[in-house]
Amino acid sequence: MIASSPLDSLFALLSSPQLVALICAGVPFGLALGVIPGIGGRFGLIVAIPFVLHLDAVAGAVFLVAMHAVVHTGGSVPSILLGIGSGPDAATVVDGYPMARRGEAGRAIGASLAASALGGIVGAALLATSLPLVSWLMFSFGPPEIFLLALVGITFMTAVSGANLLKGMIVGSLGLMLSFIGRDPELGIPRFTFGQTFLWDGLGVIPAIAAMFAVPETIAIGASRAPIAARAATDAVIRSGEMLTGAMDVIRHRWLALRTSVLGALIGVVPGLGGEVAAWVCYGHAVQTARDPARFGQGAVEGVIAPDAANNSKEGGALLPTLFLGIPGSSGMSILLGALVALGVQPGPQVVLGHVNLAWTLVWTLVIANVLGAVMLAAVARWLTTVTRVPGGRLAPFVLVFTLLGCLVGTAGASSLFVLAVLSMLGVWLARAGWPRAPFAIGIVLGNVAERALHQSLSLWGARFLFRPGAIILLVLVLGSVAYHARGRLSKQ
Amino acid sequence: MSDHSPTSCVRARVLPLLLALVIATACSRDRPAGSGDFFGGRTITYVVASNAGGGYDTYARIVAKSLARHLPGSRVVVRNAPGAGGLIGANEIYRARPDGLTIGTFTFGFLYPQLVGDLDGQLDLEQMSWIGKAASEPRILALGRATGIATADDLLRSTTPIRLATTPPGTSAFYATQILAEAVGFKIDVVPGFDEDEGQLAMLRGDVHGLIASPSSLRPVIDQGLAHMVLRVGDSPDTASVAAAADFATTDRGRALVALLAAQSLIGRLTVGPPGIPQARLDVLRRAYSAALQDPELLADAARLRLPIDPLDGEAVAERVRHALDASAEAVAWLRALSPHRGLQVAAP
Repeated sequence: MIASSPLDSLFALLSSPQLVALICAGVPFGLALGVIPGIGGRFGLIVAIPFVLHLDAVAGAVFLVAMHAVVHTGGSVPSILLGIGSGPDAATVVDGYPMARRGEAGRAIGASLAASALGGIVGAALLATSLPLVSWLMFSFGPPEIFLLALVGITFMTAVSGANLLKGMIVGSLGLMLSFIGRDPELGIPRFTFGQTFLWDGLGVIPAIAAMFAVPETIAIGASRAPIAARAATDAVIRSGEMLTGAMDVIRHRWLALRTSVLGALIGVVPGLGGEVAAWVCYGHAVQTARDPARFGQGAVEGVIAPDAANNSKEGGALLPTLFLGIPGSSGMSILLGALVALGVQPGPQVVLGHVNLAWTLVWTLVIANVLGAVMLAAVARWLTTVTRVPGGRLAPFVLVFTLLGCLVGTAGASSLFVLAVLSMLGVWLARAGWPRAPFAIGIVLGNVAERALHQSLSLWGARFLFRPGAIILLVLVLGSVAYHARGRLSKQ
Repeated sequence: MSDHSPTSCVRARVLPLLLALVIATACSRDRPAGSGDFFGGRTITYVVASNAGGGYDTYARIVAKSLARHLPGSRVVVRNAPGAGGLIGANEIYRARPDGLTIGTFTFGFLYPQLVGDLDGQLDLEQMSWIGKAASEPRILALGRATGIATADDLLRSTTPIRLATTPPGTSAFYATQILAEAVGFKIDVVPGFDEDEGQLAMLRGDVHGLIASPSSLRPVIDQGLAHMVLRVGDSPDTASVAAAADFATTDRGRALVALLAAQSLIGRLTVGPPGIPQARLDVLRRAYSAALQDPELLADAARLRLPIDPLDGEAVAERVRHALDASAEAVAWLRALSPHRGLQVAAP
């Protein structure tokens, strides 16, 4: 397949029955991996690789990228319908699940699919436009910028606390404190591990977030015996009109969708930030910039749009360091990198210089897969949403099993079930007492990222790291974020 | 404790998780009639002390697949037990019943914590039943292009300390970095708390001068001319042109320290069982392992995945391990001063 320009690559891709077939096979596979809670793209890549190793480099890469690109598109489904989201998809639970409880599952899924497609396209666009700027883009984000970006995200705790600022800050601080469990990144000494080696790597984001959201909601549903959509105001049968309403919500909130898509893609570029960061930072941004933040947590559609756009756009961003430096932008990308090497693709600038066709083919694959994924899932959404009408007593055991499975698969260790059990008690108590839980998720996701980056920054520059240009810009953002929120609180009083 | 974090290991190459299921099924055979072999009709669990998809995992899966063929009637099932830098999986192998049905792999970077006494009760490399190793990978000191240091001579002429990113104290890359500098005699300023990928990025940004890593993980940045391989410990065909650290260690202690690093590099992709496997059974495992490593199908898998194969039998590996653990009291005392755990005790998982 010889192609020399973006459009030639697109034409070559669409005129190749093999590549089209691989995309058509990869997309439903990726969607299924996302729809089944806890499986995820990383596992999917590992499973898929033996089947693509006999293909040529372009064909194998197309299948893997198509599959991986839409995992989070599928991942929003259990987040919205069942309240169980693993990893980055958990941010969608906060507002997506209350929408389903309100009988608006169709609208939430419509918004999620449209935002995911848009995010995927923006991520691909960033990948395409960054080809000449790739080094600058990746090298302008060092530990100081990562630390301050995490700090910006941490300031969003106040925004997602709703009306209970003090309670939100207490819960958020608890999340931050728990994120420090594990080996000190600078000294190597275990902290708060009580002599247990399984805690050396920390509590694990997946069980912690599952304990905060999935378990309390599942117990509540099981205890009430009512279906999830118990408070449905309308007939719960999903009509295409509801899906369309959700898609129109994305158009209504187009600037939020675009901003979070770009922000997610940029976060994806930075190795070491982790998949959850993009979703939670963008969720916090959506709350903070909303006219009526009190709606969040109660089923605000913007709370679905922001994390879902970011989740899909970050995959395009994460491909940048993976393809052009050979440095994976995420754990999923590290497996993809290994697969590309095995397929004969040597990462580096030669991907652009010598394999320009491959680079453009992957860009188009991202675009096509994201759109196709949204369309495919929309076609089956009406059947998927029937789970919201299953009596809670029957549904709860299955949901709990999937939650446990997600913890086991996501963390590859039975010890995560212990963490899940302990933190679930806290999650259930917070839910019953009406305390906000999103600040906890932000704390536990960003605390460790911020701490590692702060240690690295201080080791390299001391306090001078705060005077780097990028750091100054982000510091202004941190202070602006605090001031903005404080002003909002004062004006209400 | 590994310097092969899941993300850095994985860049080597990947052989996937489903393969385990395929292997488990494909290698399942009825016990041959009249076979007196203990392993016939039994399942061997091969524990990998890291995430699926990493370098250790990839070697484990091709080895397990081939091993089952050379233990007629047996099945070999790979199971990942990641966590605590590989200590959880390593401890699981160490504490397994010594019946030969639980074996596995982990990083030999545990050599350093064992020498300084940080593995009390959790692992004892000397007591374990060594089955063999599939390959070794040198440790490379890479320095960014901006440093202007391209050779070992340049490095030794440099009067300012070079700033090296490492994984946290207590991990093998942290020890290896300090050992190399001490052995060869150049000044360093260690910046801990980076994983291998972050360290490479920091080097490319110019935040640090370089790091110690495996050649496979450094390959992309070396090929792009963004960094130079300045020193190596250990041998491999693609790093033969890099200066050997052993040639620059001029003191007895320096040579002893380089030998310690070389031992870690040599015993790279190991297969091991718990202490106390009956000798006859261990001999069967060792013979099967040696045959597996010469199996054309394994060699074809390895070539397809670009995995170097450089086997060594279990007895020879056990001898090397004993030799590595026989470090001088002076070297051990020096290493102990670097330990983050000084006096801390951690319970076995």
